[in-house]
Amino acid sequence: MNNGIFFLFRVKVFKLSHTISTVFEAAINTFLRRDNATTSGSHYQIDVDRIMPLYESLLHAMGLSTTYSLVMVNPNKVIRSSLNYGYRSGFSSDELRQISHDEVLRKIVLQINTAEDKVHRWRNCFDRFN
Amino acid sequence: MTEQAKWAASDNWAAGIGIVPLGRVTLPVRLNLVLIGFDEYEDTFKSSEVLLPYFDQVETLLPHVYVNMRPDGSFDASSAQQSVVQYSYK
Repeated sequence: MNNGIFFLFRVKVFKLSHTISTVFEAAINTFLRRDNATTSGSHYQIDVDRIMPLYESLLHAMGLSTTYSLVMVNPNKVIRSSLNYGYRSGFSSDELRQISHDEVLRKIVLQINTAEDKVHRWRNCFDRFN
Repeated sequence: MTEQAKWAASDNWAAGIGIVPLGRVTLPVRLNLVLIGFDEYEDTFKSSEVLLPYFDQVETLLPHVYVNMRPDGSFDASSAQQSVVQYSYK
């Protein structure tokens, strides 16, 4: 049933220059890591939390931070053309399995989380004063 | 001039709301498609050939969004073309 609410979508397309593509290709190549660290598979992953600030920064610079934006990336110079990669937040199941079996890795992950919590708390304090 | 065309001609949000008949709420939504890595396709036709599968995907994921292409299938992003689609929320 029609409830009388209409959305008028206006789509604006922005095609960005080669310089921007180069930056994003470099970032993808930097953050790329194997999905399965124990085997030499061709599946790779990128931590979405690490690359997201780059997209946010770009949208902010373009003055699009307050609107809905969909970014389509077609990297041409990612390590190999046959490479399969995707975005993931956090660890892959293989990495989690490794961490659960490795005492040293577990400690490192806990330390990182504690440090991130501290940074987050300090940031909140600064935000309150500024 | 159609309702959509009037709205498209104005960036004014209030004007967008003002032109709709009473008893109906129309919400203007702006969606930006930012294309990165398509710069090497200088040729308009080639560019549209490469972009079409991406746009098809957008229309599959967001069925209420329609990306405007020219009748001949060509596409020119530099002109920042606009399209207005009316979607009835059910």
